[in-house]
Amino acid sequence: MNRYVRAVEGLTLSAERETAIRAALREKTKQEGRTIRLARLRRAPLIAAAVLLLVLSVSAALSRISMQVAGLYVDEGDGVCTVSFRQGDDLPVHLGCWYPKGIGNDYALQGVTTDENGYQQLAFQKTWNDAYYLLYFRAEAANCFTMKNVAAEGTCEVNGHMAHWFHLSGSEVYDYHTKSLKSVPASVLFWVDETRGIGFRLVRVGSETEDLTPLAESVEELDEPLPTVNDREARMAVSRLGDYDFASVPEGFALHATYGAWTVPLEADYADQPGFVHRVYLDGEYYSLHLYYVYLMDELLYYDHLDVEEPEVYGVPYTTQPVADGDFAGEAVYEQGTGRLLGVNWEHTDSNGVTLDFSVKADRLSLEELLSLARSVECRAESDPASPLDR
Amino acid sequence: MADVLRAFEEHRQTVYRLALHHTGSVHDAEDICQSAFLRLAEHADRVGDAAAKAWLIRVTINLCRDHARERMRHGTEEIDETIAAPQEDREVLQKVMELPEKDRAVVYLYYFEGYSTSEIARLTHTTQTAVSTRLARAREKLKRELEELP
Repeated sequence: MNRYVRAVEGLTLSAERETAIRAALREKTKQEGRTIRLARLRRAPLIAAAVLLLVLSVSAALSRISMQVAGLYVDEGDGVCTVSFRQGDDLPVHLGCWYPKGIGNDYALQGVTTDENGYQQLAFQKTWNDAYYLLYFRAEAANCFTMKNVAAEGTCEVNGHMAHWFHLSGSEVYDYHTKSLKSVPASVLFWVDETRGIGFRLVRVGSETEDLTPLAESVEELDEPLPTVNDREARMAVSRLGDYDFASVPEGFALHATYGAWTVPLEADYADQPGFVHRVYLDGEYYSLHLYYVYLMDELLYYDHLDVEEPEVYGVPYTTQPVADGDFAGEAVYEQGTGRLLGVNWEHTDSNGVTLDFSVKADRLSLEELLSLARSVECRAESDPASPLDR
Repeated sequence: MADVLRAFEEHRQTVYRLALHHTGSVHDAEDICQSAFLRLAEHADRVGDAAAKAWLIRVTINLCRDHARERMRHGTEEIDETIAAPQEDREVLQKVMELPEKDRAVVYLYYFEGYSTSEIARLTHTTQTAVSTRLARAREKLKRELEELP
């Protein structure tokens, strides 16, 4: 391939285009410089060369959960506020599933996150930049929320509970748990249900001045939990890729969860991840066993946000060695550097012509045990022949 | 922002060559190169210097994918035949450019940029097995076709 390398070295960006791109980047620099001088807070007086720390403490008498709002204003007018929560000693047992009954019909429920981490978020969207998000959480899961470009803020009540509202002009609503950063104006409302020990955050993306109190007051607890995005996507991925699983697992292991994702190549507005199914088995103590099967899309994948994590099976650089066990052929996977056995990979093509990459990963099983598990993987239902998979 | 200009000086050829391998068009590759660095300028506060090259490769691949969608909607574009290269090495480059688009990119990242298959898998959001398969397929095809050349 030396000739190829030499040929590629002769492929260079034209001088004219280089000059044009440099000019465009310098122009961009100047534009960014102007916008860095942010709009001043509308309600706060101008503060010259000083930092004023304004603390608003909102605490309920029954402090199973309390909320504290702190605003930090600097002389350039960059409004930044943090909202933090504290939990009392008497922790609630059940987070529950909450729903804003007053949400408009033209806002479709797009997703429900898992509640395994002490919080859950519902997303209602009309378009990507016109949406509502309802997040509810226990205080120990909430920690702290930081908002920038706060144009206005104030206190109110939601069904008699203490609440605090914010209007954001610069459009950054970022919370450390859902890792969501929105770049449009937004209205935000926080409140606490002291008796249930739950905090709420309602966000309207796409409007800076909306009064969210009526919608917040329509939030009610549901009798049954909503199916999460994980549930829905896993079911769809299994139906599209095929329902594969171990015929049996080592003693002590039980199925903990099935995750999955499915995307339609070139037909969706964006593609998040490759089609995959991930089954997690736990032994109830410490060790885990994983079955992955991944559909290799025929196109390189497109990620709307670079923060999206791909479904990494092993999570570390690795090397492979071919292995065979009877009529089974695959690869043993070893961690680079340490040589630690990580798992086994193999390919399987079903009767519909769909080829899937399989992996079994486990914490402490031998190669023979992994191969035995790999060979035991059976198909309870094959891939959906109507799905647009490459064949 | 000075970092963005420095990143441009360091990585412009990588981005351009990767885009050229994807699109086969000098004009489109130049456009994609410009778009990639303007995006870096927009996200400079989230991209460290050490990660800039990998970030640019990912964005370039994404932009090339958008370009491919547009091309499919508006008809197939002829591969630009004005790619400049030393005549004696042009044959190999031409054969590489005749490979399927995703195979071309993997060949470029592996043989010219020197990335490992696991690194390419991370950059292109696919699996190491898929990368190895594409490389093996590309090598086989190139070997067969280059042996047929007079």
